[in-house]
Amino acid sequence: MRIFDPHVHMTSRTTDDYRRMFEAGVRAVVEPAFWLGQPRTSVGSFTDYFDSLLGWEPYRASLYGIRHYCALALNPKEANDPRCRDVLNVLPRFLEKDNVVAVGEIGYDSVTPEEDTAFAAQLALAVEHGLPALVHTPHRDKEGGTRRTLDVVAESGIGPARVLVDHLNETTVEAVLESGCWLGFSIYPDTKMTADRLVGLLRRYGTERMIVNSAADWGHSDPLLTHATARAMLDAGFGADDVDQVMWRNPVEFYSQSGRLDLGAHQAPDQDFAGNSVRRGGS
Amino acid sequence: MVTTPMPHGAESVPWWVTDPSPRQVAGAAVSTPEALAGAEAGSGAGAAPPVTPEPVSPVAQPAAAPLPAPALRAAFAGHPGEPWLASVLDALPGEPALVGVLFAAAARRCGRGALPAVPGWCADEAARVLLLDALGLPEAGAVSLVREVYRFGDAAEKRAVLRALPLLPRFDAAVELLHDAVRTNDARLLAAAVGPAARALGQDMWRQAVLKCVFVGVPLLLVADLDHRADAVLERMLAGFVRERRAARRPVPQDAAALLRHLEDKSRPEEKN
Repeated sequence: MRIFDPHVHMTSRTTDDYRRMFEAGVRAVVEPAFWLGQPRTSVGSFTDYFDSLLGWEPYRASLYGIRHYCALALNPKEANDPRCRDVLNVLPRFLEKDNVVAVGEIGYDSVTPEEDTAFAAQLALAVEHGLPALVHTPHRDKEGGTRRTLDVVAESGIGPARVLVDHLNETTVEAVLESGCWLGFSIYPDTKMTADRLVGLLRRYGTERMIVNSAADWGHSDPLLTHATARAMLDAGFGADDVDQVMWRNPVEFYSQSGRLDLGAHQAPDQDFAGNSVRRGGS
Repeated sequence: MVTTPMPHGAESVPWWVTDPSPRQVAGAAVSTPEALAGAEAGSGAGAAPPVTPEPVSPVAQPAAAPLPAPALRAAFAGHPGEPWLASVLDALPGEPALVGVLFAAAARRCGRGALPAVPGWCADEAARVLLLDALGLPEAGAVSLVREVYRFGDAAEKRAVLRALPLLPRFDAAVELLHDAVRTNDARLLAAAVGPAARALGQDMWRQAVLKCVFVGVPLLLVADLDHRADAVLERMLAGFVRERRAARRPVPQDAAALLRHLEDKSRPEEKN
């Protein structure tokens, strides 16, 4: 079983998680930029964070056999803070980087005018830089927020096939299905979505455009719930090919629209010098 | 243009390599790229995990000498990335501000494969080095632009800047970039910083960098001018490292042990009679 976790905040996770994820079949991840639990107060905090998502984190992942890509954006929560808004001005430079496969997470948190502005501006950046967009749907007023999200996406001119609308549940799935966007489900221990509930949704709506992630971060979450969901699919009678579609081919197809997902070019010519590239275990 | 001959070539085995067979610390084995290839073939679940107590580092190449830009340029003859490279190298001197975007795009436009004509170089790094070389700016301007490219670069771009430094005018003015690379724990950046560019590092920081190579797993084969620069202080530091490892019953990397033996032999008063 191979798993592509299309939304996981590895910055908040330990190397033990990388080991366990590899053992569970995770071979590639996308880490979208989000907030860190503690509000940031300057653009510099964001650029250091972006550097980490483009430098240290993919390096750390590679040591454990996992390919790490990222999505970059000003997240909806911090789009409301005037001290952070200038992140929009530095984003174009970062969106050109090889490891950036989407603009995200963008969308709504409290559905404010400031969030409207940042959301529309970043959908335009996605179009300009040829990137798909990963869209977060709000925790509060999810139905209203999701409807509004789909309206803004439709107005933006980005094709729905280039948009993944995330954190969906039973009440928002049909609207997103009709929109033509991809559907993201964050499997959490007991909140957003669970493996068993997701299996029910897959039975009802099929496996096309369906994408599963752990969205694991610094909160109560678990990066192995992608694997648990795959097991639940098999237990419920889905075939190995269905599992592969949902856990690997769907997210690969979505992010491949960036033109930057290069899972075959993982090996640089310098990666193994005379068999002597053994890491000796840090300091 | 720096044309210092290569101190330790890939083809010549240095004096301190006593065992020509691949050297690995016990317990470490599988490389990550193979693991990923297994995943793509759909066979990942059954494959042995690459996760080991001592993970594998995706480092790096031998301490290649700083090549003159013309040799790197010539290596692109017939390469699929050549037309793009030719056009941007022509345009860049007139519009140096484009370097940021072009630098970021270089791997996508030129690929990441090895350039057979210049061992130790792959297409993206060589193209990026040529972009910096093509700026042809007055010295002060070049230094500030190079700093900016490094500051906004991802890890691969930063590494290319480090490899370009010895080719650039007044590259010693960019010593802060080497310090930044030595501070990271990213073996790819450290490996580039201890290559030919390390001539700009002061001796104190250079010794720290060499020890850090031993700790994070950058083979000492990649350290440029090691034989000339290794001194009594480095010998003392290495001896301390070896004592610590032996006290902890942990393995001592073979290249570090060999270097220490060599330094001890050199510093021992000659025994005659």
